[in-house]
Amino acid sequence: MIDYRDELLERRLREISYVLLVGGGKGGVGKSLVAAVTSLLLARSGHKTGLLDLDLHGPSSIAILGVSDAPAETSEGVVPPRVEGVRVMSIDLLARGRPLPLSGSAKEEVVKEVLAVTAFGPLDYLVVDLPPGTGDELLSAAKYLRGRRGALVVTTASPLSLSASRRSIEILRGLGIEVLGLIENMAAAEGGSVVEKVAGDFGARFLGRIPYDGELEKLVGKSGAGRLLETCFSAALRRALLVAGLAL
Amino acid sequence: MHEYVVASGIVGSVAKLAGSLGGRVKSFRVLVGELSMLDVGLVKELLRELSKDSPLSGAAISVEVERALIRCDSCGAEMSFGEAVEGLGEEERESIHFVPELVSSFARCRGCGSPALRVVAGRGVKIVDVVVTGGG
Repeated sequence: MIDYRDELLERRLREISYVLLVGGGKGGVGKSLVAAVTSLLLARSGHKTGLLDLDLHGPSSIAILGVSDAPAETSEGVVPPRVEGVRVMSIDLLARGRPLPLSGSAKEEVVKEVLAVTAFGPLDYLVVDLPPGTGDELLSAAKYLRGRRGALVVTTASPLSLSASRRSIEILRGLGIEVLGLIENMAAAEGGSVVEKVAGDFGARFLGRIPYDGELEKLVGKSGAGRLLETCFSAALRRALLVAGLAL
Repeated sequence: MHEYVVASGIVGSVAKLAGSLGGRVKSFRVLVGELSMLDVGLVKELLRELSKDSPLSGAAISVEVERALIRCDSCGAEMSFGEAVEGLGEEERESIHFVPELVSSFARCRGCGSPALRVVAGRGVKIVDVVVTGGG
């Protein structure tokens, strides 16, 4: 039996220069915000950028960026809506806010189907927002999103988050994905960085710390996602991404 | 229009197989899962059109519907396509058309009301029984 989606996937991937996975083992550390603002920063720098939300059970990219348009069906596939120059695709655009109960094998089918039907078009960067953990979504992304790719690992200074990040880094490397480094989010305003100290133990580069930004919550989901770029969060993230080697 | 993307993927896949074997395609079958809600007649028409000037040109193409079967993981009850999508609106059906697993977002088990629905059969598109002739 032949799966026609493999052919479509190959075509789609040929148009994507670099896949940037944003992960981390723990939930609630700000991966989705990092992924969303990273995609905005890349687009603002002139890169053709797509954002793919693979957090199937808790998609939040649409809410963060205030996406209201539906994807368009064309002869090339499903064309995601554009926000501030970023093409944004999420299962939530199809599930329309409904929960999506899925078991393991079904998750892989969903990831493959979304990748096959989504027509991002030519992209310099496809930023992928991964769910917490090292489960089916990550494994499927690693399996189907081949080519030039790297990962940012987002953590807080919490020992639980650091422990989960260490496991994520191990799995990412095992899957042949380059780990660009660790980003500390929600960092305390003062004091040294625990994350910076342990990054070396993980064999990963420390990219920088993003202080807790109380203003963010007020902007998330509001129209004009570009205002997220005016935050301290965005400025600190930009510095970290420059350390990671992204052309911003 | 989703039919066009699917048909072009099918033609590309079969052509690649024929190319790897160095032959031409004599025949192949396409099973279209009921949950994908694709227009079978249109898929067949597009396959013929897109096959022109390719190793698939002149091949006998059969396009059939694969009946859907949805099983509830909570109580084990089984549902047909019609039972699963009964009462769903146009937008919900369209979402399932693109990603069949979304049936579990919109439908509920008719027996116990659970959302834990698993697509057992008839989800997507399969290419089977490809016969290639003249290969090395």
